[in-house]
Amino acid sequence: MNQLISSFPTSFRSLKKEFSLDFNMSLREPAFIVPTLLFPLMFYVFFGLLFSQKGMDGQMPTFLMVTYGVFGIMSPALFGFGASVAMDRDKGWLAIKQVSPMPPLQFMCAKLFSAMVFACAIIVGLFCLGAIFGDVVLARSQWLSLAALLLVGTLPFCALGLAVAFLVKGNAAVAVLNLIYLPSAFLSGLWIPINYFPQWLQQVANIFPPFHLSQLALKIIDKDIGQSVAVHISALLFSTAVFLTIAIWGYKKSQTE
Amino acid sequence: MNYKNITIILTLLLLITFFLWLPEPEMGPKKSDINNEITLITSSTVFDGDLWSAATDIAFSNGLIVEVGTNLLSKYKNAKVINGKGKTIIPGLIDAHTHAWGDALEKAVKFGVTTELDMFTNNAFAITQRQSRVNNQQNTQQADLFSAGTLVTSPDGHGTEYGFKIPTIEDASQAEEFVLSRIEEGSDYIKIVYNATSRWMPSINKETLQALIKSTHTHGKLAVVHISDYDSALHAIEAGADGLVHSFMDETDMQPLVTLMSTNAQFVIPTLSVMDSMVGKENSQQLISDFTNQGVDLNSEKAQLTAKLSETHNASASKQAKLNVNIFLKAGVLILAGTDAPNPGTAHGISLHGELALLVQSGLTPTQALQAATSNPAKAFKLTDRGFLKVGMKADLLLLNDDPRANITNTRKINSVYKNGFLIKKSDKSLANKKITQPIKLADFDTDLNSALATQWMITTDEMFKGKSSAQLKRVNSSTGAFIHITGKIDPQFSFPWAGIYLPMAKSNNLGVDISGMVSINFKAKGKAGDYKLLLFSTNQPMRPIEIIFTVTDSWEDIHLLLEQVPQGLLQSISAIALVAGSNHDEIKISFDDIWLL
Repeated sequence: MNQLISSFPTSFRSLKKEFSLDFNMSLREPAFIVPTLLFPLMFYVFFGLLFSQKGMDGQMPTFLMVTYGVFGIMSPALFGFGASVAMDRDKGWLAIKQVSPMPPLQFMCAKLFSAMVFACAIIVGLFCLGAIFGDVVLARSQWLSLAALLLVGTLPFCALGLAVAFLVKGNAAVAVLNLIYLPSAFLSGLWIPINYFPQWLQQVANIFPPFHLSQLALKIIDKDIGQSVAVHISALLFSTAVFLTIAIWGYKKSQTE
Repeated sequence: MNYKNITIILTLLLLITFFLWLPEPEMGPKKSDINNEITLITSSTVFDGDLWSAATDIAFSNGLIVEVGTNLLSKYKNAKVINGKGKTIIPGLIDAHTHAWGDALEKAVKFGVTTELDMFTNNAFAITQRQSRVNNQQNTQQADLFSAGTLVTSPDGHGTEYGFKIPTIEDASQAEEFVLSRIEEGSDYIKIVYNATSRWMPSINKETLQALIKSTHTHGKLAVVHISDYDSALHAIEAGADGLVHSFMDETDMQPLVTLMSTNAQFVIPTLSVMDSMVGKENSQQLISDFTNQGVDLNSEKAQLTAKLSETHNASASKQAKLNVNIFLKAGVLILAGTDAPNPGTAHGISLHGELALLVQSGLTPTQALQAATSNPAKAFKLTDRGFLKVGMKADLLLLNDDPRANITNTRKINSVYKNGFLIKKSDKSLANKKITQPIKLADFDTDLNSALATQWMITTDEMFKGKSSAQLKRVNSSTGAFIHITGKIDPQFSFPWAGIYLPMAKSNNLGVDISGMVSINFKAKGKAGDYKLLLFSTNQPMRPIEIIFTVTDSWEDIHLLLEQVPQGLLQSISAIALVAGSNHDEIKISFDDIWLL
């Protein structure tokens, strides 16, 4: 890890190269593109636009646009970043990268950047759908801060993806991530508004990072359930730190192997 | 520049354009302003017309109920919040049998009757009043009206005796035409007067009754029938009437009737209030004193309420009426609360609270009685927008200070009434100060801190103006009953420090009582020797209490403070009194007992 940090930033060009390589590789992987890009949009069309236009005083499309935004950005972070590191490790690609002259952090940054580009595409897609079909109307500052928050919000999930990737082998990592991704998304109220959950289940949601990110995002449109910003931010920072620690530990272990 | 850089720049430009394109709210009222119009009553006990739920929030906006649930406070942040803790919310009451004209609807709503089902009035009145029930967002300050308009009766039959000419029906052949003209006039339902034996007044015959009901149903309206004995009731029910707008006092086997009614879901409006008036039974005194205790002035209604249709009291007939209601109840017949106001002995709004108590005396549970005045009439008359506190229903509701399940007369303890989500203003008259003419005990502290005005003694200090004085109060038992003991510190830094005890004289700070007829305030006191102050707070002189100095020694002494030194104008509206130590003390240590207003 010391090597990771000391070598940054040596060459911006190799980072750019690495990013476009990773990005193009991802684009050629339909198993990644389709679920990552289309599922959040598709779910939003079904649950946010077709079935519940009238819900929450007509605010359902706005509400779900935000929560499906969180759901959407989780996927490239967990899979595009986390799982792909695990795959690379399986294929021995990670080992090659590790012995190549390119600093490992650049490899990570490139992957992170491409995850964010995918996240951005999902955000743009959801906002388009919401604005055109869901009559979502927000102040420009709200649109922009939502987008920014969702982009920054990929970080805890990147860390989580990385942690799992270094702990579990390739294909198993995808399975484990799915096991984390879908239930935590549901229990955080990303699919069905948390307000409709029983009280105790709302309490349970507090243990999931997506809940905290979605509450921060919902605060921007004034539809959160009223916990303080500080709680959400510290929960996200804390979970990011925990996941990163696990990731670093796993990374070291994979190096010694 | 290679093509990759161009791609990146183009993508960024596209992103910027995209965010510029995203729709923004139109200028004009902002979303937060709309939210401001939401009223939220939090954590009350709620009766939704059907069922009870504890600690429930109700949000309403634009005249309709938006949400009923828990934790709504976090959701409706900009709502106007009313703390309903310890209070009970019930749907706006529906009086299923009235005769409305003049200011009936304005009067009714002040007592929580937000809908009146009129059973015969001058059609000119009904025509002008029906529209307002459609608009949910209007601050009408009156009950909504549904009306039968002109009733259906025979020449010289019941209904023709009120001094204005109404069309009458001779025989069954005219039924269709007669019903059609009522519907064209705007009748919401058809009310038919029928007597099987034309004892006092002529009546339509059975064939006409049957033809009328049939025609009414063909045109999709409800047919309800005025009857006053069992035989007439049976005929009407057999003919398929949707309901009876009165009950009867006959002692007879009601089985054939109630079996038919419960099978065919035909309802009855017993109108026990007016039946008691008919047999000379007195019910209104309790009603008057209950409302008077709530600070409502019923002086103008007193004559109306205490009048009776008959002066000879027939206790057994009154009892029989209730027994008959019990038979309806046991058979599962839908019972609706109706008063027949404003017949002698009844008044709009007020008497429905009496009717609820009479229904409970007949064997209904308080909850069943409430249903009879909310969800039952809504079901029976197919009123889909009221009678329940559910999302999308009209925001017609009552906030009660006490739970009517404990005692049905708690419906009289009305904190506030909302019609279309608008708070009903208390009438100026009811704000008039209650005049105290008899000596009253403000406290003896033997069992509690309550006064005879149903208010409670509490600590008062300059803390309310950011001073630092503090005090505690304690009831101390002695051989002659308990007294109150106050200890605490007086903050010398504060410009006008005080600490002591305080008694509101009325339920609300902006209300007062008129004590201009009283002579003195007397009490016993002992404590740290020195001068203390009696403070009188008058709504006619806000922020500047009247001070009367008294001296206390370390043994019990009777103290008489004469009120003649206080200007009469201020005594006419006293909102509170206080007994305090002021700046001449650095601590307070004093006991009081037996405080009287003489």
